[in-house]
Amino acid sequence: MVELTREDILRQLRERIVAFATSRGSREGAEDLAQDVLMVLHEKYSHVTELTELVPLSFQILRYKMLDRHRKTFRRGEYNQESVDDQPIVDPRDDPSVQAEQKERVAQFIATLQQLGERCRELFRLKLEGNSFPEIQQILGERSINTIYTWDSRCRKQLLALMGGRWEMIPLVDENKPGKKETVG
Amino acid sequence: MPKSWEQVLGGYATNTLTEEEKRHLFEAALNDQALFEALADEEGLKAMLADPEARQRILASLQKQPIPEASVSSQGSWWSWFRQPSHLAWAGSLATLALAVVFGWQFEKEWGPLVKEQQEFEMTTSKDDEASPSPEPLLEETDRIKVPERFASQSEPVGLPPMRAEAPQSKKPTAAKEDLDRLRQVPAKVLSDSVVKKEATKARKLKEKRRVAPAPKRAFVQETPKEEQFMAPSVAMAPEPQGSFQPASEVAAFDEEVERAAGPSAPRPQDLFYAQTDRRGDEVQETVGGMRGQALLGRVSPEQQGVSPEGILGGMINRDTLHDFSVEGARGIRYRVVRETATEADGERSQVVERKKADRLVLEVNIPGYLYVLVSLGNGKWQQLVPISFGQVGKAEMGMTVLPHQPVEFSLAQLSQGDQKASASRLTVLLSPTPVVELSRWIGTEQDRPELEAFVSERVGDAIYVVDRSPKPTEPFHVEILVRK
Repeated sequence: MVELTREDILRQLRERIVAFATSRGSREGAEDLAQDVLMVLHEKYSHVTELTELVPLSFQILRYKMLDRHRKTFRRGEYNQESVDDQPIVDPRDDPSVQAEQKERVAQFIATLQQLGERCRELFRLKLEGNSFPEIQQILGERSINTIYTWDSRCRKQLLALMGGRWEMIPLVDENKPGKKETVG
Repeated sequence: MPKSWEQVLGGYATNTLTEEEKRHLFEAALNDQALFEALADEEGLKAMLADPEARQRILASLQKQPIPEASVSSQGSWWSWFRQPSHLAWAGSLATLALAVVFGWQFEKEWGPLVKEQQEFEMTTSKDDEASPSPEPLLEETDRIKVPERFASQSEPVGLPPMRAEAPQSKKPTAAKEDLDRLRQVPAKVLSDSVVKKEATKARKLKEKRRVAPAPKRAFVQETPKEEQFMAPSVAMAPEPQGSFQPASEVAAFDEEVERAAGPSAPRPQDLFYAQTDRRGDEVQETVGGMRGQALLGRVSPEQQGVSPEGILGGMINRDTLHDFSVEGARGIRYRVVRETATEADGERSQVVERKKADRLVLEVNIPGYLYVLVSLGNGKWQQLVPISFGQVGKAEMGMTVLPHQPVEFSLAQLSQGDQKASASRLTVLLSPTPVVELSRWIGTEQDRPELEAFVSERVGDAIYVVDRSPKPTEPFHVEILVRK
């Protein structure tokens, strides 16, 4: 397999990010989003060249950027116009709403996990304990690793379906259409 | 390698992919928009699982009982376990089984001995029925045995009342069976003493069966009730002076043989016992006042006519007179064990079999003679029992002169008095026409029984009749009585 260079990886990443953001919002916002991600990768993570590091890093930056855009839109009052005087003083600590959302997501995820079968729960538990697929294969005594892959894929799809198709709800707003509320996912 | 790199997406969020899996997954994601978007969506789950607190909560939830319905408290699980019909059925079955075991154990504890007693009784009865031949074989058997001349020459005994031996065996009401029925009617709590008695009776029966000697070939005993209240008597002939004792057999030992051999015309021992007196009583015209037997039956020999009762009781019976009595008729004794109980409402005496404080042995003979009641103390020692009321009975040396049908009572408490207790509750009764000089040779001779041809016994109610029908007996009438402790 040909080893991809950093430039090749970033170029392909931009295409995928734009396509991904476009599917969740507007074309213009998607390009801006992709540009912001690449800017962060270029300015802060220029030393990261490995594919296995660069791609997940880009996913993480992309998620943060999407959440940031969501918060900015919310602060601008594009969802609900409010008086500036009504806005509370900024708390340097974590947003309590974010913490509450996180707790709520975890509780929902736990409840969804309980609806899975025994095998799926066992697989997810083994993964949470840090076992890789080959290790899980040995633990479960399966002769083929593909059996583990198949089981895990089915369990993931079942869990995702029970979660509503998305692991988290990130609303996106088309900046060109103020006041329009969109929801990612 | 996975068929599709999408299959390893599940390892991305948990960050458990190997380096190779990551490389292949990300390369595929760069070329596959769907895979890329899937990975982007997985980022939210990855971020959630990256939080140590959230990860720990999720892991803890997975380590609990997996089934959502079962993920309740322990108390709830108990209730949910009981709510299931199958579990309720199992619990009910187990409870029923436990109750059955408990009640069965209680039933066996309370009624087991009685049931065993009844079963043994039924088995004994059935065995007796099987052993009892039909009337036709009885006749054949009777033909084969040697019948004394005076009975062989006549179909009915002279002077005897009509025979009562034809009663079918099924109709005989045994005392033990009545006791058993009575015991079943009392509450279980008060059965403990009765159960002990029954067990003792059972053990005694078994012991008696083991001690049974070969049945004599010739004997005349009418059909008698099987159930008894105390041990059957042992009848033995007098041992020979040289010590060559003739083998003796207990009367109960040859009951079966006797019943089998007894024909419809065989006289009953009870009839023989009273026939002796009847025959003699016919010869006299007067009665002797104050004596129950003579008053009722007039059993006075011609030689004694005109003799005052005091003379008779005062030891004036000469040897010839007694000897003549014994020669002409069947000599016998009638004995029973009597106990007085204070619980009787009518104040009458209730006769039971146990030998306790108030147990008394009541002896009665049908001929005058010298009566001895001896008990072995072991080690060659023996003791003679003293009657309770001796006023009307003469005394001669160590024996006592008795008259026909004169009840003589002995307290069985003498068996357990003193330092030397009786080694066995076996009483030796001697009835002799002449005073017995050497009594010791009669002690302990119950093991050697003669082939008794003329000794017959019968158990009627609580009394036992033992009759010696020897034509001319020359030795004392010897009867062994086993009294249960």
